[in-house]
This record gives sequence, C-alpha cells and structure tokens, in this order.
Amino acid sequence: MTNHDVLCVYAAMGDLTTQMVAAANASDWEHLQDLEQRMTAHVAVLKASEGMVRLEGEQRARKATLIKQMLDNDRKVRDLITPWMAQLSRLINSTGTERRLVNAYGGV
Amino acid sequence: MATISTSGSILDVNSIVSQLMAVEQQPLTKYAQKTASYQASLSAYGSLSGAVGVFQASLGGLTKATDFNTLSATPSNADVLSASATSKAVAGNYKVNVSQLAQAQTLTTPGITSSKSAIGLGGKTTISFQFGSASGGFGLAGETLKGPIASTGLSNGSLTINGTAIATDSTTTSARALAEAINAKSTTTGVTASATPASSDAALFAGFGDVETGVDGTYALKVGGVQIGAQGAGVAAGDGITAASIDEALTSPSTVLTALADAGITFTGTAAGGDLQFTRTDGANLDIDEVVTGSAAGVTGGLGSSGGEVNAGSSKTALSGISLKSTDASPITIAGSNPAGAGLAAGTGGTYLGGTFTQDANIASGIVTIDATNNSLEGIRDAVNKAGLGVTATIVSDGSSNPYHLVFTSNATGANASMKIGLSGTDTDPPDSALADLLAYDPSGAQKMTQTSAAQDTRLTVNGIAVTSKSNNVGEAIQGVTLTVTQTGASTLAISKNTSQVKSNVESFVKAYNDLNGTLKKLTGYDAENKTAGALQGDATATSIQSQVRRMLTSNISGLSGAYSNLGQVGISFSKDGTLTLDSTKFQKAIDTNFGDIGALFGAVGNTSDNLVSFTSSTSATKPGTYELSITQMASQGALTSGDPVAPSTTIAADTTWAVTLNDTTPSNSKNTATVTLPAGTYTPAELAKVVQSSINGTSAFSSAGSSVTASIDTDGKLVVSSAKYGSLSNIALSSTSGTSTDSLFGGATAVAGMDVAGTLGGHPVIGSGQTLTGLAGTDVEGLKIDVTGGAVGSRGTVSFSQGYAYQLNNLATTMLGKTGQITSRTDGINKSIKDVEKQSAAFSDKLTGIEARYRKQYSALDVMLANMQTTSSYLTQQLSALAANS
Repeated sequence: MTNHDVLCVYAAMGDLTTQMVAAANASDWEHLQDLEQRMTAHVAVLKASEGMVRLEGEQRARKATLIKQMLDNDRKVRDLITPWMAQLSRLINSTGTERRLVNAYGGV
Repeated sequence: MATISTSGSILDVNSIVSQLMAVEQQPLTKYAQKTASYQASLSAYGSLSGAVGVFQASLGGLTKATDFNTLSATPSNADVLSASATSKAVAGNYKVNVSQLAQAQTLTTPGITSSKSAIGLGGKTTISFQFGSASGGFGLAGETLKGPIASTGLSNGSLTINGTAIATDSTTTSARALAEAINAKSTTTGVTASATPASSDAALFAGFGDVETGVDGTYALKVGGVQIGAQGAGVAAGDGITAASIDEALTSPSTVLTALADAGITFTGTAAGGDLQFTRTDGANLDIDEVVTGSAAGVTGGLGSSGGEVNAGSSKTALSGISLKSTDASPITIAGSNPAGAGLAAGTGGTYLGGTFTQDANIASGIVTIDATNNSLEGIRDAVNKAGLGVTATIVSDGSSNPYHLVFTSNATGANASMKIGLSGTDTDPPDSALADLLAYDPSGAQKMTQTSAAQDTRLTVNGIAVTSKSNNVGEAIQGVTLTVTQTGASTLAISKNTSQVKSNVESFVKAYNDLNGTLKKLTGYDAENKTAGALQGDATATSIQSQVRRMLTSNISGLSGAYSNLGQVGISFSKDGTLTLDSTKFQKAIDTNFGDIGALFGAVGNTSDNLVSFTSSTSATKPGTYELSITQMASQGALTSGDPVAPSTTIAADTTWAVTLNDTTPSNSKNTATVTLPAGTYTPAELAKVVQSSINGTSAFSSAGSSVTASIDTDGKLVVSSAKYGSLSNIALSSTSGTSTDSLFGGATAVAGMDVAGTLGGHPVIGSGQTLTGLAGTDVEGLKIDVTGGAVGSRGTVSFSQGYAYQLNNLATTMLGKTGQITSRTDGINKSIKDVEKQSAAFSDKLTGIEARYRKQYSALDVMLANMQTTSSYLTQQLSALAANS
C-alpha cells in the first residue's frame, strides 16, 4: 500500500461519511447501513496495512483533515440516529401494545 | 393512504414518525368505529327483543279464553272446605253440609310374638287383594241375655260400650229394653243396638198332653198374654185342649191369630208335630204361661205332660239377645261389671255381620306370593309394599306379650275401597293354614283380621241434596267446582264472577303493549330534548314490528260469535301518543253485560256444536274460522270376546296366570306383554268380569305404561275384554301360563283390533289417532286438535276456532323471536358483520405485527451499525492522535 493509496482510502472514507450524513438526513436507514458497511471494510484495510506506511508533511495534514471531517460527520450521523432509534423503540412497544389489545378484545 | 412528506430536517423525525403511525393506525380506528356502530344496533335489538320477550311473557296467561272466565269460590267456613271453580261453574251461593270425611280401610292382624320368625310351614301361598264395597252392619252379635235378667233386670254399671256406661236397672229385663238403653247413648258410643227376636224353645210343644180338667179345675194357655186356648172344669182328655185344637186355633182365620199378630208374635211348626215355636220379633221377652186353677190334682196334661201328669201350671220366658252395630264401622269396646248378663263378652272387636263383598272392577287388584323365604310379618309387609297393589303394610307393636301386628291400609279412600284378602295355595295344595288364620279377610266370610278403620265415603249435602264422594276432593257435586273438604260441618260457598281477575288480566295486557310501544319509540324515534337519534331510527325491521303489532290491535277478531270483536268495544283504545288506554266505565259495563265474551277477545277459543266432539288445542298455524266436521269412521277399541257365553259359575284354580298382550305395536314389543295372576275362587259371570279387569289393570307393567282394560258381560252373556285405549294401536291378546286356561273361558274367541277416527274438517284432510283428529300441515286447520268421543259417522256439526288479541300477539312475538324471525335474522346479520370486521381487524393486526418486526430489525441493524461506527471512530481518533504525536 502506497502513501497515495492510504490517502485515497481516507478520501473515500470521508466521502462515505458525507453520504452517510445525507442518508441519515433522508432517513434512508438501509442505505446508511450499506454506507457504513463500506466504511468498516475500509477501516479493516487500513488496520491491516496502514502501519507500514509513513506519511509526511502535506499528506499528514491531508489525513488529519480527512479524519476530523469524518469524526465530525460521525457525530452528525449519531445525532440523527439516536432520536430515530428512540422513536423506533417506542413504535415497537406501541405496535406490541396494539397487538396485545387486539388479542385481548378480539378486534376493536 | 396518506403520503409521508420528508423535509430533510433532523427535527422532523418526530413528525415523520407520528404521521406514519397515524396512517398506520387509521384502519384500526375505522374498524373500531364500525364495530361500535354494529354493537349499538345489536344492543338496540337486544333491548327490542327483550321488550318483545317481556311483552310475550305478559301475554302468556291471557292466551286462553278460559283464563278470563274464571269464577272465584269463597267458602264461609274455610275450616270445613276449600274450593276452586272453572269457567263451567254457575255463579251463586251454595249451602254445603259435610257429615262425614272419606277414609281408607285399615285391617290389623292379631298380635304375634315376633315380627321376624316364620309363620306356618312355608308352603307357597298366594295372597290376593281385591277392592270393593262391604255391606252388612259392622258390629257385634250378642248372645241371649243371661241369668235372672227377666225377673231382676240388669243392675246399673253392668255394661259400658266404648267407655260410656249404659243406664240399666231393674226394669232392664229384656233385650228390647237393653237395646233401648243402649240406643239412648248412641251419640256418645257411636253404637246402635237392636234386639234379636225372642223365640220359645223349639221343643216346648214336644209331648203336649191332652188337657183334662177335674170338677174344680180350669186350664188356660197364654202366649205373650194372648190366650191360645182355655177349658173349664170337668172336661175329659181329648175333649178340650189338645195339640190338634191348638193347631186349629192357629189356623187362619181365627181371632187368636189376629191377637197374636197384634202382639207382634209369629209362630212356626205345629203343636201336633211337637215343633210349634213362637217368636216375638221386637225382642221383648215372650212369656208362655199355663194358668191352672182348682185342686192340686185338678188338671192333667198340657206342656211337657204327654203322660197325663198333674199340671200345676207353668210359666216360661223366652229371652233374646242384642246385636250391636257401629255407626262408623269401627271396633266396639265392651266392658262393665256384668257384660255377660247382657249377652256380650268384654273386649274390643267387631265384624261384618251377614256382610257381602262386591268387587269394584275399576280398582286394580293385586297379588303377592308368600313362601318359605318371606313368611314372617316383616316378609309379608315387604312383599305387599313392593308389589304396589294399592295397600300399604306396616308393623305396629303394642307392647303386650304378643306385641306385633301387621296393619294393612288401603291407599284409596272411599267405601268402594274395602279390602277382601283371599289366600290360595298351588294346584291342589291348600294355602298355609297359619297364614290363612292370620290374614284371611272377607266381609262375607272369615274375618281373621280386625277392621280398625272402615272404608268410607265423604258425605255431604249441597243445598240439601245428598252427595257422596270416594275422596275428600269432591268434583262436580257443584258443576265446575271442585270441593276439598277438611272437616265435618257446614259452610256456604259463594261462586262469583272473578271480575277482579279479568280486570287485572286486561290491565296487564294494556301495560304490556304500552311497555313494548315505549321501547320501540325510544329505539326508532328522535329524542328532541337530548338531540339524539334512537339506535334503530329508520331501521326497517324495527318499524315493521311496530306497525305489525299496531295493525293487529286495530283489526277486528274474526270468527267470534260473542258480543265483542274489537278492543274498542270493551273500552280499550289508542290515545294520541300511541299508547293504549283502558276506559274503566266502558270496561265495567262490558264485564256486567257480557262477562263470558271478554275472554274470547283475548284468548283462543275452540267450540264444537256436537257435545260428543270436544276442542282440544290449536297451534299458531291454525287459521280462525268455522269448519264443518264430517266423520267417516269412528274410533274403536281393540277387544277380545269369548266364543261362548260364560258359565253361571266359573272357578279360577289356584296359581292361575295368563300372559296378556295389551296395545302391542308392529313389530311386536315384549314390553307390551305381562304375566297376570288371577285370584283363585268361584265367580258369577259379573264377578268374573270384575276379577279379570282388576287383575289385568293391577299388573304394574300395564299400569305404569298407562294401559288398562275393561271387562264386561255382553248381552249374549259372553265375556268381553277390551283395551281402554282407542285407535289402531288398541288391541288385546291372552294366552295361558298356568292354572285355569284362557281357552276354558275364551275358547273360540274373536279378537278385534281398534280403529282410528277418520274424517274431514272444513273439507280439509285430517289425521286420526285414537279419538283425536289433527289438522294436516299446510291446510287452514293445521294443528287443530279435536276429540270425537262418541256418536256416529256422518256430518257432525261444526268446529269453530278464533284467536283473540293476546293469542295472536303471542304468536307474533314467537315468530319474531323465532329462529327465522325478523329480530333473529336481523341480529344474526349484525353479528355476522361484527365477525367480518373482527376478521379484518385481526388481519390488520397481523400487518401491524409485520411492521413491528421490520422496525425491530431496523433497530438492531442500526444498533450494530452504531457499534461499528464507534469502532471506526475510535480507530480514526487513534490515527489522529498518532499524527499529532509524530509531528
């Protein structure tokens, strides 16, 4: 893996996180998961090979910027996911209750 | 389905979700609304059906015209009697005087040491119980008065009867005087006495010698003060009084005979024959005196002087005895210081004196068999009770040395339920003598048991007319009235129109309609005050019910012959608000003028013009109208007639049993055949018929199946046994099992099966069963039932049938509430709709479950994603730190 390769991966990842923010905004949760899986795949590649690559100067700054951008996007995505998950949790309980009512009263 | 709008804003998530859920839950709300609306209709129909049901129930007691025509029966003395009257009774006041209450006969055996030890030798003995009337006085036959009564009289205190002292003294010198003294106390003793005739010694005139008188002798023979013959002095033997001259004096016509007749004296025999006997029927003493005057040897001959011995005169007194009769046929107790002087023995007892027994064929007889297994008092008791033959057996102990008595009590009251208990053995063997000595009871023969209570009828008078009844329930002594008498005494009975009952019936009819109307109004109308519509407003079924009921009440009743044919005529009309009101004045006038016609306005009435045809019942399908009745075949009973006339005397051998088949079906059912045991004895044809009838009817297999027979001797002297039932299922057959054979009585018998009544009603076909005709389904007379109990084939007048308001409304309500009725089919429809909504709701609920699963999956996927993002973010943070450290 060359220095260029590494930066390319980071750049790709940065792009992914931006797309994730968009997906989360659009409540496109399936797409979000898809994007995130791709992120995880990139991370795995980085974890395996990045240690042998040493970046200098501009390349280092570029990497730091990308990482900061990604962490920022990460927070944005989380901020969108968390309330949705809370809502989901409520909906799950709510439909459960509905069903239990139906079962108990035979359809109201 | 509403669309979900997305604005892209983070803050819109909540709104998106709530919109989503509102859409998703929309169908559920719709279902709930739909269901609630159905439920409301259903509950409205529930109240409607309830109201119709209550309406119907309140009509229940008004659907029979006779319910309106009841009369009340009020006794002035409720201790003496109570009464109930049907519509057949005639209003008025009746004077009732009850002099005797019905009771059952009770017979008691002499005391026995043990109730468990065997009586007799255990030979098979049949005990037969027959029921009927015992005649002849029940009481005690005394002997000739004893001792020097004729001269000294019977001293006071000599005799008490049933605890009452009989006043006797020195003047009580004859049976006649004693009888008078006893009769003076009849009201307290319950006993009457009669003196038996006093007769001279049968041998008194045997050896009557020709009377010879000397120069100074005279002789006179007086019987009861009547001079039979006399001769003066100096008559040679043979020239004066001789046996022949006495007979001649007693030959009609003669002054002597007249004088004797005047004195109540009769005679039998002749002096010449030596058997001349005088009898004084009134029971007074009969004196026979020879009056002799002159010197000691002046007269020879006369009574007991065939050898011409000197006759110094003689005086003989013939005494008689008395016979006691208990007025209520209960045992008589004799005591006192000298009952023997009165010709009676101290103690308690009584029998039928010269009684006869006449069997009542309408009371079933019965038989029990006693042998070595049950020949104790307890064994007999149990056998009799188990046989269920109309007698209850008990054992009572009186604490004496022979304490145990077996007591038989007839289950039926009435003078016709006296028992005759006969014992017979098997074939040629006689019954066990010990059992016969204990139990035999025949008012005309051996009375080994003691009657402690006689079978007797209720006796009363109604307006002075004597009435007897077998039980204390006296039906038809007054037409349409059943009296229940509880004690002797007098009471008047007021039979009056039960106007208050009719009034309350009509009032409840009006109220029932108004209640129903109120419910219908509430359900179908609009409540202006609360601005709410009734749950069934505009509902076709509900309004149809309303109009049907109203139409029925405003139409006339057809087929009525009485004074009224619509409600207005008795003061019932609709007021402006649609409720029924009762005009009391008009109604009272209707009651006063045509009481009997009011019932027909409300209930169903069937009338027949032929009094041997009776209306039984109808159904809701029967159409009102008047129908001509034509009979083509009368119902008849199955019968068996003996081939030859019955012999003047028939002997039924011991152990005679027959197999009787009664009212058998096709194919034959063994349940219709039973073994009948006949009591051994010798019978006249009439008695034989009674024995056969009551024996068959006493067989429990038949009595429990409600089958019975009548037996009679027809005009040809033949024995006819017929089933009491009418119709094609009426038949009888007999065959021998043991003892006297059926062939010996019925040889060459002809059996005839019964026939069902047949005909037409108003030209419509009807089906006959026994004496009952029923209209066929689908015709105007459907379900109309009439009984043709007599008469001939041909035209039999008319049967008319009308349905009053209550009857019609009751039918209408039944129809509405019935399985295919308006209300039921409507509620069935609603229930089906509710079921459908339920199904849809359930399906949707399943869908909701799917949505939930999706959410759940999404949640866990996001959860996993969050964890990955955490890992990614940790790695990136770590890389960022490394960059900073190396810079």
